[in-house]
Amino acid sequence: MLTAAELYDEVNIVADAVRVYERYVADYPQPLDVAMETRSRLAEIFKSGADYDRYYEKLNEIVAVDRDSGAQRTDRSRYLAAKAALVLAEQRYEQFATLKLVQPFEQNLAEKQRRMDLAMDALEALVDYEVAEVTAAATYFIAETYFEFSAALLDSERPNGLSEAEKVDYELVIEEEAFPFEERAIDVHEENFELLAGGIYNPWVQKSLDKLALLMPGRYAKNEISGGYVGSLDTYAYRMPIAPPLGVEGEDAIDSPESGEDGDSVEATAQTAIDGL
Amino acid sequence: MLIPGRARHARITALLSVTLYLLSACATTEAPRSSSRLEIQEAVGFTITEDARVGGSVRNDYETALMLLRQGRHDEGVALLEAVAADAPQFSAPYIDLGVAYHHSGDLEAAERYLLLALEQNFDHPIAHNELGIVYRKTGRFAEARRSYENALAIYPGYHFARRNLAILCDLYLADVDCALKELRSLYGHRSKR
Repeated sequence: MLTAAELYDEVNIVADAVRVYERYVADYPQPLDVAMETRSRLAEIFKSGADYDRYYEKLNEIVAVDRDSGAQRTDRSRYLAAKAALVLAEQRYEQFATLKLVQPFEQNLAEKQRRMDLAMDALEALVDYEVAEVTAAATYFIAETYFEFSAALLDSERPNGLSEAEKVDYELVIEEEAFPFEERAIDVHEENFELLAGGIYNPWVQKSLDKLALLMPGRYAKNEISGGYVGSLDTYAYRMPIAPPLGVEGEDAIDSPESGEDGDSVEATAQTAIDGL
Repeated sequence: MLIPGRARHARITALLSVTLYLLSACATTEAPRSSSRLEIQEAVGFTITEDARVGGSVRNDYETALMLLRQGRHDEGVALLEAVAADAPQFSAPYIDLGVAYHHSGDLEAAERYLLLALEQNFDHPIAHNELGIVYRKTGRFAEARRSYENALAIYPGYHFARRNLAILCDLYLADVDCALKELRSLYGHRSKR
């Protein structure tokens, strides 16, 4: 039956492929890995067909089946469930992030906090799967949730009818409320980046580093520089420049780091040491 | 059973002939290498010269390809540069430039492939080693990245691109503070000497 479904799938007869795949997982829930792979394929088909209701329904099914399989769970079923749960958690994050703090502020703030709690619960649950890539993704989104909340507070719609003095006080209060969330975002992104020490490097770890480069440029905005194009078929001449301080790039730089101001960077330490020689 | 004197000599000669023939057959499938010279001027820089015969049209195409790439016309520039590399495979420059172009466009796999081809033609090209180091870092192969930067610096210790990139690698990705400090001292040391 599975072969028949795969043949339909190969020749892009989608409706029949879906029908037979669905029948297969209903009739043959075991072996678990094959049934889970089939559900994943169904989810992919629904996604590519922009049938998002069935896509998310299938992802929920993958998560539930893995969770309820007890001792029959395998590394593969756990991995597929983790990937499905990540997509669902990202959906929660998006629902949280898209809500703006406009007036009535109190009401929208309460709703945003509710969505934040839901997103956090979904993201924190991902860590239990113990899949390195998914853990890194979850950590990235947890940090982004804190950052987004901080940014939403700072960008929130200000109430009307405040006097100048009240406006100043209001700004101070908003900043005081927002700042700890940004700090927490930095801490969590740094925790993600520290996965490198455990030999884990993936796009989510790099995304955390990219975000840190924006939030703490002095410490993290250090991008490599390329020598650029050779420029001549048979001759290449290199002349040593006066070495620029880190953060100031040549025009051929592939990446464009920003100069930093933090005093805790190795560069700053080295420069201080060198200056003292 | 051992082959007696004269017959054994003849057989060894025949085997050697076959081996040499096979080796020469292999050699003809490789791109001929240019003769390259590396001239180093301590504390000033270096010059790499690769000598090989090439027609004027290939040179023009090379110039045009780089112009297209600098104008952001990636696909056209790369296509022309690939034609140049096919016409003049003995030069490392087209391969390096293809590596840089693909790196710019985010195709790290193609970038790596061309940079390795460049190093096959001329292993003493610091640009290729440095560029390859960045590609390795971006693909999470930190030990290979370090070796690439170190290869570049072994050719010319004052090559600041590789020195700086190695410092960043050690600082952020390898958490090797001693290495980062050493490289930064070298980097700024060169500056202060100038």
